[in-house]
Amino acid sequence: MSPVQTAVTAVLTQKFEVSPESIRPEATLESLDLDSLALAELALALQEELGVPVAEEEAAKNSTVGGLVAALNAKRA
Amino acid sequence: MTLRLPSAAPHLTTPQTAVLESIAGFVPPDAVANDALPAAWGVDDAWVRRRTGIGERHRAAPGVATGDLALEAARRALAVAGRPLVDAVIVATSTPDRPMPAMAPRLATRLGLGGTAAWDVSAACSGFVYGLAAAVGALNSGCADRVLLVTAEVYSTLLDPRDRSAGILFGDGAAAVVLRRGERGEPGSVLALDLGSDGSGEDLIQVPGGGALERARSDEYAPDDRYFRMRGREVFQHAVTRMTQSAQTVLKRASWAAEDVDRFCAHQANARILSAVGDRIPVPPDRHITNIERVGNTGAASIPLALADAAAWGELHAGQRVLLTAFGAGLTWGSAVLVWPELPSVPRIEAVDLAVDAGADLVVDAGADLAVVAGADLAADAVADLAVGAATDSAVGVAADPAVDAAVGAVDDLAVSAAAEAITDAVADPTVGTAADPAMGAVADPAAGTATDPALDAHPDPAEDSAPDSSVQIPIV
Repeated sequence: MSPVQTAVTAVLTQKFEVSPESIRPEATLESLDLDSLALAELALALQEELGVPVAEEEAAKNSTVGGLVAALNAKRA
Repeated sequence: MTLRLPSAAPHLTTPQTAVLESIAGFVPPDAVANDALPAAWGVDDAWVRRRTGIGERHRAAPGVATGDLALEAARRALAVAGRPLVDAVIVATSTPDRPMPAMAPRLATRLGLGGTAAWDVSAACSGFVYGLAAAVGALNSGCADRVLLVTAEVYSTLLDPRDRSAGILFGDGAAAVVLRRGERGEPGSVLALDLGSDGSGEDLIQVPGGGALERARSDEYAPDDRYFRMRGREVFQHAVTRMTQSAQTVLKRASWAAEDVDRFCAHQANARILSAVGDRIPVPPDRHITNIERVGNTGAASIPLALADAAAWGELHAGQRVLLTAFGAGLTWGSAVLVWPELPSVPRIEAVDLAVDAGADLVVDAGADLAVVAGADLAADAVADLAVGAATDSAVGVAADPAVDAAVGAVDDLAVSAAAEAITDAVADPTVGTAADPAMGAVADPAAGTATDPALDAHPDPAEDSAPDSSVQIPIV
């Protein structure tokens, strides 16, 4: 698992109590029950954890877990 | 997001600073619970609580404006302090009654403090911390020996009825503190401050119209631009980051570690922002002072309102190390630290509670320029040996009036008292601290222990209900 994948999974399970098995690449953030404030919180937590800015559209309702991980991996490359 | 460079501002090292002498808050009696929010918003109690931590917010009655709430909070804070001589009045608000003039001169005059220095501080939700800094400056410079700092907001007048996200958050309320010049280090002294701003975020929280920009470029504005607007997601991130950094900076300036903080009171913006900031400083949740559940976000008033609330409920104790931090439109942010002083008893922020809980006479006087007069009947109050009183006529409330001094002297075992010229006769029983100016038509009958102003049909029975209760309608503020 990439550091980004690890961070995304950790934040989702620890801070937002998302069940690990529901964190699949095709799952949208909305389907994981994240409301708009939670998306802001997720973006901030990932920003702090990974040291890269997280744009609004990268962690939006319709963003998928896989899409978010890919976008952040690209920024860290 | 741009991160803040380490501040070059010097530590607050002057030997003298502002010392907190009194605090009091006030919310108008009309509470709007989540279930009473407009049906068109499609929200329920659980939804609002999960997102904001808010259960209800208070709304000023029609016709009641920011200055009215400010007046009530100011009167209470002055009463708690024992009506000392105040020579500067600062109002922090972002919902002023008019674009011009400032709120403070009118408030000072309504308080009978005409002639004193009076000005407004505009720093949105950071207004209280910025106001503290202004007070420290006025006191240290010798401009004033004692400052009344009043925060008041009537956000309900700025909210777009269709804007659910702002509508669920904001409430109306006011709070005030009395600060005197004192020695740095004595209980209640402001030990350190940190202030900051970032104008590149001016659009994140704003009322776009209503100012010179709209008048200069009227074609670019629509009537809806007079409403409050906030970009919630970006605000969340800035709020958490700025408050965390500012809190850590002020702790450093005071040479406190995060674990030294006994009580942490942040701007009551949203419960989830508060916990995110608390996690990061870090301060454990059991040290947080919060009342957002009952009052929502009250802008500049939120920090002193939460402090007054905690003090009134006995949840804030002398000697506790208190950290305050705020964030608001501008963007602005700021933090302060102080050690909580021993204070006279602070009244509850809900007007009705104040009287009902104390088993007190509640006198409501419609002719008294929106004043609520409350007096605690000591005989009925097993807990505290004080009375809280507010004079109904601002002219009567001036401590310099020798008649008032005499009356205060007659009840000098009361921690708090307000008196009118005819009080000595009216209050035959010195244990009853209710004061009213007979000229205003409010007649307090100490023996009966009930309100007796026939003009108002307000007859709350103290024995009826000791729980927080907004059902007793005060048809004013």
